[in-house]
Amino acid sequence: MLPTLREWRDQLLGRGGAAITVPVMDGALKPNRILDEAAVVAELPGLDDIASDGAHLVASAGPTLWRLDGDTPVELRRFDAAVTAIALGAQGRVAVALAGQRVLVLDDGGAELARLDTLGAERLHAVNALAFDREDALLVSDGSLRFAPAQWCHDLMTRGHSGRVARWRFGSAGVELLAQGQRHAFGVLAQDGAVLHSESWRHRVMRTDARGTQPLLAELPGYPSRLAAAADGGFWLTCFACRTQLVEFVLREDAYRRRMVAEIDPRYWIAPALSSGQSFLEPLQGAGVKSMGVLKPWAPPRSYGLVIKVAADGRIERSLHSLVDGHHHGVTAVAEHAGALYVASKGSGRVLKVVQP
Amino acid sequence: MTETVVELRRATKKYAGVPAIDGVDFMLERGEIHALVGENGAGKSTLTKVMAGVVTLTSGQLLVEGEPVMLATPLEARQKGIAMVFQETSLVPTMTVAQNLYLGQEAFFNRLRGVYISAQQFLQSLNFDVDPTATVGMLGAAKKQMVEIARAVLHKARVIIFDEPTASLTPEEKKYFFDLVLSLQKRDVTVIFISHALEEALLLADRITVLRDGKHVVTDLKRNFDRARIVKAMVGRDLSQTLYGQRKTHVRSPGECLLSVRNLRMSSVVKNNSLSVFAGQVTGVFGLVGAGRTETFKVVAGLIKRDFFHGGEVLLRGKPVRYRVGRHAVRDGIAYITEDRKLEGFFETMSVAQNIYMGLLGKVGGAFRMVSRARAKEVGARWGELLKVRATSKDMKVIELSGGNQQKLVIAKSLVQDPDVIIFDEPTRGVDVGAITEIHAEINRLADAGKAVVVISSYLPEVMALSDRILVAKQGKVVVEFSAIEATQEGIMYAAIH
Repeated sequence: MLPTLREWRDQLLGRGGAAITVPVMDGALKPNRILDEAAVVAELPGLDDIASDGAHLVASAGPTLWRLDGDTPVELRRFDAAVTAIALGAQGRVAVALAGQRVLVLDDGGAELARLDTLGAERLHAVNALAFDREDALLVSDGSLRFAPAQWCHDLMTRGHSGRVARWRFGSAGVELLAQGQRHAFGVLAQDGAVLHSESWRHRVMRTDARGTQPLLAELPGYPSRLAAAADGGFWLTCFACRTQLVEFVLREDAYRRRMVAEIDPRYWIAPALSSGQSFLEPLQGAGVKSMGVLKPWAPPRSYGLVIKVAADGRIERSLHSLVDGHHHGVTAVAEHAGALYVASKGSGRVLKVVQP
Repeated sequence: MTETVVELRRATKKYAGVPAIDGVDFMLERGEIHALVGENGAGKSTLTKVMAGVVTLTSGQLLVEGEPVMLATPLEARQKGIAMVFQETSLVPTMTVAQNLYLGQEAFFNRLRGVYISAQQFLQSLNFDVDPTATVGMLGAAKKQMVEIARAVLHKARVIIFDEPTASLTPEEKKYFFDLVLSLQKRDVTVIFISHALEEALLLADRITVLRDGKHVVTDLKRNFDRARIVKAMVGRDLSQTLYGQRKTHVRSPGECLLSVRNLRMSSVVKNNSLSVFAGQVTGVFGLVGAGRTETFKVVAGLIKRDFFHGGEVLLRGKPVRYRVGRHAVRDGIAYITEDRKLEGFFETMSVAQNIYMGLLGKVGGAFRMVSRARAKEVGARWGELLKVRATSKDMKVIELSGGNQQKLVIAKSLVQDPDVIIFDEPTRGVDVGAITEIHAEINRLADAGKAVVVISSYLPEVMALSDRILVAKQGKVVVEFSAIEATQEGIMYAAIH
């Protein structure tokens, strides 16, 4: 059948790509309240990313880097633009992305070792995740060529597909493009000679190695974002929001979506969010599913907190949740440090500490 | 001083020379609630059928209020004040509820509207939520049972015999039923009920009689019994620790997600239902009648169809599937073992071997399949032995088997297809305790062998004893999931109701 005819049929019958279904959160993804019950280590307005090199734990919030391994957060350095991604490497090296448009590698004294502004012919536009790959290379995730990192929702609602993933050998200034045309690249990790990278709008994590690029995790119930290595050989994956049938429906209604983007304040779009409940104008969190005065924990979320632990073979082992009536939503980064898991909840601006079982 | 209403002396009933009950002495006292328990084939149904005039004794004596009687028909029994509510409902499926209630009692100038009003008032007085204008054939098992009970009460019987009255009732409906029985007792009505749920006997009965292999084992007051004593009397061995006795201390870890149901819709019964089933685990599905559990899995197995427009998705090993007929699901490794074995489970006039072979043909058969009698016998004998289907002869018709053996046959008929996803719908309904143990062992063996097993059950102890994870369904969708370790009866029931 011709693709166009098939698309029309699917639209009419609600099949295939127009089925408007979302994956189930059960089994290893069964909701719990671990994130809501986790200890709050720090409150940092504008919190975005978090990273550890084993010795130090560093978080970024706005233009500032904070050290978190003491009792209270200590300001490490303030930049001239918002930090949109960080990575810690060997020998005290720090990589930061500023305003999504340039990447700096700094030595342990803070001096600039290398700088990246372009990937191939295009300038960097929305760098949202970094990870060291061996000592002399940095993996870079550039979310979109059209929108800044803070405008991720615009990229989703315009069905952006201009994300890129690259390996930058900052020692030799060579750049290798690993993936392009991504529906919002957001998260990179080097693991066992391969590169793992998240593709948010396709709800999957890809694995790129010498044999090519294959999906490692697909059909996730949320929008995957940054990745972090786990001590047992697997990795942690954050999902900054969860999928809902309502948003999936809006994404298939082109005319409606175009008008919404053109005419409505982005804060009130029918779209996923990092936090909710700020205004009565925004779509209802949990779609107002209440029973006996209690918001049902399985109600469809506008914002949600979700961290997934994945084994090296791609099997989901367990998950950490902040439910629709919780507070620690919009999780964008995690890092293992000193036997605990530190979670950056961008929606609440809090760094959480989860003691692992 | 207690007064004996019905008495059996040395009662024997033989079918083709084989005794179903053998020299049984039984006394029923006025106003008591008497529970009759025993394994399938113990002779409970035969004993009560003698009292209800359905069958006559081969030898021995039946006395009603001290007078020897020979009740040749149910009508004669009813005239003596004895009515029976059967396990398989004896309602006319093409008639309405009200018509069934008043069947045989119609006035000469029968006014349908008057019958409906009268039936409505009567059903309301019993607190039964059944529409008197509904056609019985369209009702579920629970509601049919309610109509059957209502009819017996309407006939003003002084002795009412219930054969497995609660097998298809939800916990809430059971409570109504128990209240009804107690209210009957207050009106000096004597009640006999046959039940496989021993908790019900211990909860409701004044006295309990245990039968085994057609013989009377013991009759005693309820307070002299506990669960272990009943079970031991029933089966002649101690099963109390193997049957629902032990709480799960560990769960099997999940394997591959073999089956995923996403936002499934089917009429007004299944409403946006989503769930996953994993290999190597038993996934229990609990819910009240009307929770859409059976319908969801019947859609999965291609036995009924989901909504045509925007009906959701079923994914098998990550690939969307939509079966138009059940055979295609069988081909892909999905087996659905029905809750209604008599209607959907087997060909009752065929032998065990023929039935099992039919299951195999459903998997491998094509347009030009070759049917081999020798192969049928070989397959039937092997699977019959594997699942311990007990038949007195190899050519015995399935209808002649006991309920437990029929259920094991239905299971064998599906397992012969070597499925990867096995859906058991009420696997031990109307099955004796000995067979329950064997069926449970088989379910656990399948999960240990890496199969994805689903157990739909309305009996909470069963769900908790078998499942590694428990999904609770309410009003057409799964609303919460419990791990077997964290689950409590109260928590599950709360989720199923609220």
